[in-house]
Amino acid sequence: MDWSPLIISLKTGIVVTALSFFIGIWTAWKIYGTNNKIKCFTDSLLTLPMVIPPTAAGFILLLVFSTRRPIGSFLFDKFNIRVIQTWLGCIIAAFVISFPLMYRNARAAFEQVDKDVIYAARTLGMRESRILTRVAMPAAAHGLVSGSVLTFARAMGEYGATSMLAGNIAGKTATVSQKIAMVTQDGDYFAAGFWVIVVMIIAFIAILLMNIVLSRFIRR
Amino acid sequence: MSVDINIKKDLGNFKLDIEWKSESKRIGILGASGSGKSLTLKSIAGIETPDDGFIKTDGRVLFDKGKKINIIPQKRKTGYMFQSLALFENMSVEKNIKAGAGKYADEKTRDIMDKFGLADKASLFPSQLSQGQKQRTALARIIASEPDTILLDEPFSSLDRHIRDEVQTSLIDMLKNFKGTVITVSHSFDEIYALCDELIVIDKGRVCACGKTEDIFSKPPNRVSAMLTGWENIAFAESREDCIYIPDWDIKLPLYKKDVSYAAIRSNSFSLTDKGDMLCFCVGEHYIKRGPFDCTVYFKPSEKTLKKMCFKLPSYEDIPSKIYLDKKDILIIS
Repeated sequence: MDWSPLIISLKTGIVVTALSFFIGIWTAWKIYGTNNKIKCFTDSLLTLPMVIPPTAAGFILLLVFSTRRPIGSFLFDKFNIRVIQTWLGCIIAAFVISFPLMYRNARAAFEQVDKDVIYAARTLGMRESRILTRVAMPAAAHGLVSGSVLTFARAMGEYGATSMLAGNIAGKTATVSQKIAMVTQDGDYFAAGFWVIVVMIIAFIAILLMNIVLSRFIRR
Repeated sequence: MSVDINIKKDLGNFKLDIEWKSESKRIGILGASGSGKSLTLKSIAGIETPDDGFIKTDGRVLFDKGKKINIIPQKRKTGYMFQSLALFENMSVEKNIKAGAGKYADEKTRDIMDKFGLADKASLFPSQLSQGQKQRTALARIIASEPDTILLDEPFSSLDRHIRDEVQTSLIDMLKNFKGTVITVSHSFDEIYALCDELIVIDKGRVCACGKTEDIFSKPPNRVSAMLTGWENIAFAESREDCIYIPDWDIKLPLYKKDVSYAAIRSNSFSLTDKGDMLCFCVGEHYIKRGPFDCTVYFKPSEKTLKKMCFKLPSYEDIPSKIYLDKKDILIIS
């Protein structure tokens, strides 16, 4: 039994969630403090990958990271980094698609925090980074936890952009989603059903964990 | 000069234009809801940025548009007590106080908790505290951050009436040792009277009166100040050739000044007996607003008018048929 699709999906999900968590929270916090005009513009830009078809996002990424184009060739020539048809491609594709979920949830969660609490922290002389980690994040914990779980689920299940950018190389870039599509095309419904059950169990565990964590917050 | 402010801010449908100087260390800002008093306080704290002007506290420039100075809230040394208290719900009392304590936080926090009677509550979270304890924690947290100025935004409005007096007294007591300036914002004149030596009255974004608290309460310079400092009876007044006439109450007073706009009477200035040369009003048709310790009687002082006047009585059982007022108790406002 080749478990590599599950391992690749899990690895991708964990790395992308970790990246999205930190970058998403930082971006959301920065944008939360700006004026409405900047907010509207950056919000639209950062949400775009969630709205366009994943294959369209994959196509753009393919153009950007192709070694025949400036960015792709620069990465390859200077750092020997290859994105297309590599696990890094899986990560970049899943990150671009699922990052908006973390960002939007984090921003919505920060908007819900009582502004007076943030202002109070400022007048008490607390540094902005301390306000973010000690005051805003605990107060916005609900939104941040659910954002992380949704990001993880989205990253795990990413198909369109990943198949365009990273391809479907067994043991290297083939994720569970790609495996399901492939075995279904081959008519192997048993294998497809097996992977569907695996994905469902993981999704269920993720949501269950989220609910357990959130219920602890509610109790406090 | 403890406070020197001249700020302007345009919010579209509301314009703030505040100019005021004060030497006092205990200042009150009185104003109706939406008059701009909290906006003024937030501008001092650096939470709001004025469009123009300057803010100085104790000679230190916090904001000056012309000189492009705008100190961040963290460096202004202004402790802001919010109406909601804005405690950090995820932190214990001790951690709340320690949050802004800076150097020697542990020692300082311990000392302050002792002084504020919070030592046995150190490990409790804000949700486990009574309203009075929350108030003490919020003030202790501010004191721990060693501010030069403390800003109290409607400090008692969230409290139930039965604990308001107790909390107010303990707040006055706790602030006794604070050497810096305290600016209190409120729409309640009794809170301001209890806490402040000097008073600013704000109306529609502008300062309409400022001076010693007692002076403004006893002789408010305009109608808004009179209303906000608890003068219940206010009516138009006009100067005639030989007298000041108040049409709504049908009262004539000797003409002692020409510049006259309003007349005001406190409801507790009325007397049940004529002490000589007093104005007499017949209390005909009336209605009574009952209070727990006194009652307010509303009546028409003249047949010619619809405007009602009110006076206070200790009990609502014996409403007199006549009520008297010393002419000196009628305040004429320019």
